[in-house]
Amino acid sequence: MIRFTITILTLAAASVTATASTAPDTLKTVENPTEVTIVTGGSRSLSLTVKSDSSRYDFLAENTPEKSEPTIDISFPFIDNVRKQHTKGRRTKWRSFAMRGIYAGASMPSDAVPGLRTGWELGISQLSGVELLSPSRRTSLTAGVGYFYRRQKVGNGSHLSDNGHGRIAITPAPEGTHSHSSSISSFGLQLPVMLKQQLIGPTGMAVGVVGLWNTYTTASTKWTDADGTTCKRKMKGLHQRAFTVDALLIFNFGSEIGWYARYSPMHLFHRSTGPEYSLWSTGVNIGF
Amino acid sequence: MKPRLILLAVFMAIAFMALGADRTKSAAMIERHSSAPGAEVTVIKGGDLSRYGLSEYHSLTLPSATAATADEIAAAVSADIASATDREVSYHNGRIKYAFLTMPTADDGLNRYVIYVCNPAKSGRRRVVLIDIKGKATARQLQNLIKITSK
Repeated sequence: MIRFTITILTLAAASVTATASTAPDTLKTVENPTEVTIVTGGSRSLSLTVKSDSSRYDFLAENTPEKSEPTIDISFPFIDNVRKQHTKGRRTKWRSFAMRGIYAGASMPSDAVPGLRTGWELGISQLSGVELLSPSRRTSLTAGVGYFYRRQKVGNGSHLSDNGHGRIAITPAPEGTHSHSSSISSFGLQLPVMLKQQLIGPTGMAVGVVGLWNTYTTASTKWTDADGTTCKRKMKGLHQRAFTVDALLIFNFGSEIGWYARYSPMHLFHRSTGPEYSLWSTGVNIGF
Repeated sequence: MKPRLILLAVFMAIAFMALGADRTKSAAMIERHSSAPGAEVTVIKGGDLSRYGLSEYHSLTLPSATAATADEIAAAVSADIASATDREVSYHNGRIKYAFLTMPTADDGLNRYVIYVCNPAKSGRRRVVLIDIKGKATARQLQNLIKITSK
């Protein structure tokens, strides 16, 4: 007599559905079966068919997958023509954008100018701009306009002195004075032209040049005399270059937070009208 | 000179922020993901649209969006659902499957609609379609215009 126990079937079922963690249970014992089918309830169904003749068993397992999620498609009567044009081949595309590249970081002098210390900078590199996207949409060329503020500190026993006619210099602080604090502040518009490449997903990098229109530059110096009097002097009408150029590199991790490095090789002041220094700056960039 | 320049910069920043205030969250998502790999963006203004009482059509199709991207877009659509004046939303396994939203009237007095569809794609990814439409057409007129097929 052929005895067939459903326990075996449920074990087999468990192995098929990969839920072997549940202990098998004897549901029913069938004697001399020719065919046994088990169908579980719910959206997942399992049927296990046992066919037998007098000499052998054939186990056939069938796993009906979970009922698939329906798909919804929508279409508009006016869109078909556009799609046809679109699928003929992607083209480059122009688009405008606003508010990209809010940044803040530290600026370090790359030239050994005695007394010149690390400063800081912040700005929006592209308040608005236009972007030329490649057909793949992964590469683009952007041009925009933004603004910047940069403040370079002077210290280490030196201060900024006014040499008359808008000329300034970093000189040793006079004896008998203390608590010196000097800085050069520069504000203006910036015009970045960047080549942008997406690497993995929204993560990408951009490299380019930034034209800086140095609209306003001042210097200030503050010190305390031997008698305790605090003095402050602001120097305006300086001889800054109207236009300087920076090189900019941005790595963005995702589409929001990134890191930037900027090199400013051009001296801010005309020759012999102020300290001559180049800058490296680095910091955080938000918006890519 | 300096205060004037700073004032100018501040006004410019405010102006650009104000430009974005009239937009739906979904419209922001369309712009944000428009350069994603494989993204298909369709922008139509004027032309044939006027025959249907519409003035602007922006759509984004992400044929193979990651779960993170799909969730980000779904979150934006959820925010629009909250601010919609009328909504028709269907869910599948707790996920927004389809949404037709009537948004508050735009600044220019035109009606604004958001349509969202999220379908399964290969390897656990999602096929996301997000549409932002503006026009004089009523919601009923627009719904009559859309051909929806479900498989």
